[in-house]
Amino acid sequence: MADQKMCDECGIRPAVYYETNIINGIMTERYLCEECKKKHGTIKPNLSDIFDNFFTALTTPFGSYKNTQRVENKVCPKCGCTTESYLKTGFLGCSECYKTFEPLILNSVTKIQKDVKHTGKSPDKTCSPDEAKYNELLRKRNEAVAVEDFLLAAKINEEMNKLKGDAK
Amino acid sequence: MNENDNGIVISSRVRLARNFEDFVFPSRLDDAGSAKVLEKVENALKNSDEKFGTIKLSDMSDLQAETLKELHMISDDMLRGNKNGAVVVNKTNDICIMVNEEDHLREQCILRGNKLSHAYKKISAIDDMIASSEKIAFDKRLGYLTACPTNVGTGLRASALMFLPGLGMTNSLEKCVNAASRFDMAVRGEYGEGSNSSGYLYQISNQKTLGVSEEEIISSVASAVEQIEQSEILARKALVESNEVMLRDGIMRAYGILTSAYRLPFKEFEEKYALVKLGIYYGYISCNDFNAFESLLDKYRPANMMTHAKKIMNDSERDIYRAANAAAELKQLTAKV
Ligand SMILES: [Zn+2]
Ligand SMILES: [Zn+2]
Repeated sequence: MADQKMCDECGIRPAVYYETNIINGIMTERYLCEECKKKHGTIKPNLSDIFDNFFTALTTPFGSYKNTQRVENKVCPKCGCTTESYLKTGFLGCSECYKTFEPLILNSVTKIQKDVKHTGKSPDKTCSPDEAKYNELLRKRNEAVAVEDFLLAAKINEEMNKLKGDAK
Repeated sequence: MNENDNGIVISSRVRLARNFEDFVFPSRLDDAGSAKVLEKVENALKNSDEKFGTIKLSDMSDLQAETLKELHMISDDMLRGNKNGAVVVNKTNDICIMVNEEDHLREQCILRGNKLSHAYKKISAIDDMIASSEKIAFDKRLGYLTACPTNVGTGLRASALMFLPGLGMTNSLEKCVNAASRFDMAVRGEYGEGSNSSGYLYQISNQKTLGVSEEEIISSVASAVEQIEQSEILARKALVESNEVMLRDGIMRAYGILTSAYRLPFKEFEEKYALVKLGIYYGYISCNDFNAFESLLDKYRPANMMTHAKKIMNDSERDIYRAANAAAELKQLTAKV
């Protein structure tokens, strides 16, 4: 099983809170203990912070892009949203923005999400055979967990991950 | 109180974030566009067996807006927002769609008790109905496209509101929350991050929305909720075993205050109410209608209370009103054993 997460702030007490923040358009995650949560938790940047971040973002490219690539300022053709405004607010202007700022978005999405491939429902309701299979495995895994057959559950989990891998 | 209703899981909420493909997201949408979005939602729901009503934010009084906010039916973001911000609700108030919030649609189902998968089924059916009449922003790889990329994929947030005095009083909430965070769950105070809870109320919810299916999210939140519930039951046992006399005394004093104080600020009401609820669990206090008892907490929140009373009151008037009315109701619903 995974290790016990320690507090990102003090590093000595076990983490009891998990929070995500958007700074310079990058989602960061932090684990905090009770003490540090009180002191440092929930840094919702106020307006001047956002403003500062904005300029920092312009002068120092962020995250993993640091020193390797300058961020090109793109403009979404459909809504007019710019790289700058996305970095400043963390919000996109329309569905087309996902194409316009794709590398940037994928960069932050991979940091916070479980995977970069959607699995599950879609608006047209058609379930692909892979999805159907996946859902079936999921049901079986839950059944296995319910009867505490963890070996079987782990095996099913492996199959599920394989299926997800193939779908990419 | 029967076995199935120990009052630990208070409510279950499932929310789907959706946007219409043909409109830019609300933050960039003009008034004509957002009016159109609202109209399209209303039209899509006409095919439903259920009747829906729209309350536009601009038509709401401050009191009405605050009342809905206390019930989690509208958000802070909406209060700040858009001219055509609105909630579309069904008659029973368990389906509530925020329109023109951060996303065009925040489809929510809130049910009393531990009913996450039921809530998901209900809101998913509504979602299908809307999707069948309007084109929804969706990408094969990233799933449902949302204004903030933190919600992409399923756009689903499943959360349960839990009453955890046992874990709170035995200082074992930390351990529990810890375990939950290892499974990508978040535990927060009742009104979101940073809100502290004097009533021992906590929200458990999923963190990840992409790369996990809806069923997977619902079942993992449900199993986290179940484990926390079991821990809470154990903690309550430990609590009573460690010093029943003090515990019972504390509970009965709280009951005394709730039934005879002259003024009661909400924070104090919430604290004492939590103890009395625990007293009912232990059988120190009898209760002839647990559902009615459960509804008292929301009913005596400041805005909800004024809405029920049909009058605007200042702080001090509210506290006196709360003390008198809550005491009268409690005396009807409960008795010392
Ligand atoms: Zn710490
Ligand atoms: Zn755009």
